[in-house]
Amino acid sequence: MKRVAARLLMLALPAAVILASCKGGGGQSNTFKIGVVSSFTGPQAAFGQAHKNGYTLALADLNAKGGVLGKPIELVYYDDQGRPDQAVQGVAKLVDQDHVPVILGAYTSENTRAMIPAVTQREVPLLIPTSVADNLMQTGSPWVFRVCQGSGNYAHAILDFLKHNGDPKTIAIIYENTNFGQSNDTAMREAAQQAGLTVVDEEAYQASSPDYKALLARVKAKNPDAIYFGSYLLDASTLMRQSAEVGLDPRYYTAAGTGFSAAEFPTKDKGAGAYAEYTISVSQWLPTAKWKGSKEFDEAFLKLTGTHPAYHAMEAYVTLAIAVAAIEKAGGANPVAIRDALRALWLPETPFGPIRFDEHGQNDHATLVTQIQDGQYKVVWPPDAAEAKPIVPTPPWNKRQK
Amino acid sequence: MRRWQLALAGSGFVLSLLVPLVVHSDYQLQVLFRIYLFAALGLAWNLVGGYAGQLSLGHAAYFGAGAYGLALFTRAGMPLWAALVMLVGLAMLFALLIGGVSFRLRGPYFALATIAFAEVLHAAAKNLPRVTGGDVGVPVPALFHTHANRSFYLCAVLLTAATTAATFLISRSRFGYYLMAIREDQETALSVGVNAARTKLHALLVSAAFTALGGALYGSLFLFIVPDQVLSIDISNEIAIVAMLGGAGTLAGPMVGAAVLESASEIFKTIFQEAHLLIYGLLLIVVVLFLPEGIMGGVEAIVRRRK
Repeated sequence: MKRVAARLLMLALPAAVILASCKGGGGQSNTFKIGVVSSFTGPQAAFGQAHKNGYTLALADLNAKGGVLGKPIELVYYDDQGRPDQAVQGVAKLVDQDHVPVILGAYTSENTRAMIPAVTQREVPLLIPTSVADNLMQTGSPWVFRVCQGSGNYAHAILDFLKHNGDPKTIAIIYENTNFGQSNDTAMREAAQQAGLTVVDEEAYQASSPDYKALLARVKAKNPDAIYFGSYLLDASTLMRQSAEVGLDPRYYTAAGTGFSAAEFPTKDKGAGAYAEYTISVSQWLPTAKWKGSKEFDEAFLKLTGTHPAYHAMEAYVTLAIAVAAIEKAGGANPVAIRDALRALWLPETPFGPIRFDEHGQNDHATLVTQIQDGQYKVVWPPDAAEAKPIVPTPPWNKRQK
Repeated sequence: MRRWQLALAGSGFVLSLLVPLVVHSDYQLQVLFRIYLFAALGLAWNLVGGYAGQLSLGHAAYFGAGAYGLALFTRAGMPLWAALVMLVGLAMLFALLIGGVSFRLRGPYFALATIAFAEVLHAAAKNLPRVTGGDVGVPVPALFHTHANRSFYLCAVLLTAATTAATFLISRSRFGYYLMAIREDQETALSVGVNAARTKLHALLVSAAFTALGGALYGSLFLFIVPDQVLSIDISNEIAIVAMLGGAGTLAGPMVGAAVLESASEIFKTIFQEAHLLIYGLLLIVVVLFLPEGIMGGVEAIVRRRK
């Protein structure tokens, strides 16, 4: 009896999966499907939501212009929960079930790295909106295209800024211990040594940890001129609050974007609030960017969510626009044709600046340096894009106004 | 086992092998692969967690040993068969170390010790980039180049069949009765001459070997692994939950648990979007509240009442 029931269940449930999935995939559809993988739940959900908002706005804009190839565009989302194995499962589902000819995603570098063999095996182009780890573009896969800049450029932009704003001699690197953080650590260590700075400390941490005071005290003992963070949002907020508690006073707080450039970071309820003040970070885009369409995107985003967007949402927005432009050019849903169209693509005017992929699939995008001043991100570097003067060195915690 | 039960199990196995003739979609095969893989992992866990009643929450250690073993031994130039032998050996070595120490502890302390060991390996893999590639990850060789998803699916079915057979034989052997005696009352078992420590360790060795093979299959399907993927506590939990949800200490329990849990997770994700984890959590709560012995435990209780 026991076994009968067991066997029945064993057969019935997988059958249900197959039925449920057939309903989604079967039949000729009247929409053009594009796949999206991101972290809508789990520890990176804030960034997944930023992605979703960016995609939603792009979808509305593009469909208002008539969709693609005469069909309205439909986005098929897959939640990777911040887990690499789920991201890979997402590729399988989107390609085999929903038959999407192109995938956008994921959010974290770790998940994106895990997806690359899967898209390469299935021969479907992957457009990466946000993941910055350098190893993503070193796999040699011809199916990978990255819209954002990589961590190597982050390090160079920060060092260039520091050189022209007081020229510190020592730097400490604090990074979360996954692909994203490690990649930024490696990039900064190598670039700093080349630029003649001494790396006095490298500290890795688990992003889920609630307490970094011991780590910050170790950094304080080394007394670095500058600190460089590679952090996501929750950890970035906690790190800054606890830096004030332990009285860590470097002359520069700098960071590799991400948590330190999230829209939530300078807010009191979702980020570090006043503790975020004066932190310097790289950024890929700001609402005040000079590119045409930036302002309109900012307004639409504000209307949708009630907050100003950070670059993650813009990267999602422009990534969908790029995918659609490539599909138009390819003239159909053939992944090979879309890949070739992406290779040859040249979009001189997007709200994210000009788009063109090099032979490795990397978009040549300018990196900005920003500083939080009065709770707002202000571009302070390079000089031709700067909208405010940097406030350096950072005032010590006990001199700051509460 | 009666003859008709054997026939049923056999026909279920043959039917499972025939599934790829009907199901062609890579995605569906991948979901089915996951179901059978976790059925096998749950069955392997069940030897220690179910029959012997030792709550292990650190099976990711053996799973990760399998996945990393395949990646690292082949990278070192070993042929595939040797790598497979070595990764099973590696997992059994870990089992020897972990079991040798942890089986001196009981109840929650044993569970905590297993978590700690798995986390040590997790942290080691993250922080030894020269050996494991750290969080940047390491490529895993493909076990199959053509019809990959079909082959992986069939391998998972074979692994499930092998663990089922092993569990069946053990549960009918003197060794199996020793395990159950230890679960019911370790003092009594000791007093009648059962070497509890050694018996539990032997069960863990068998369990680790099967878990490592599962880990190797999983790693090779994804072609690329990072520590957070194959050594995280999520894997340990998922293995334990599959077995407990289905019914720990029963032969069919882990299979039912894997089928319910893995398909529910996929279905909910398609239907409920962001709310899928909420629904998934509710499902677990309902099972724990109304079927404390797991699904098969509940079915058994109903059958008993009828008789």
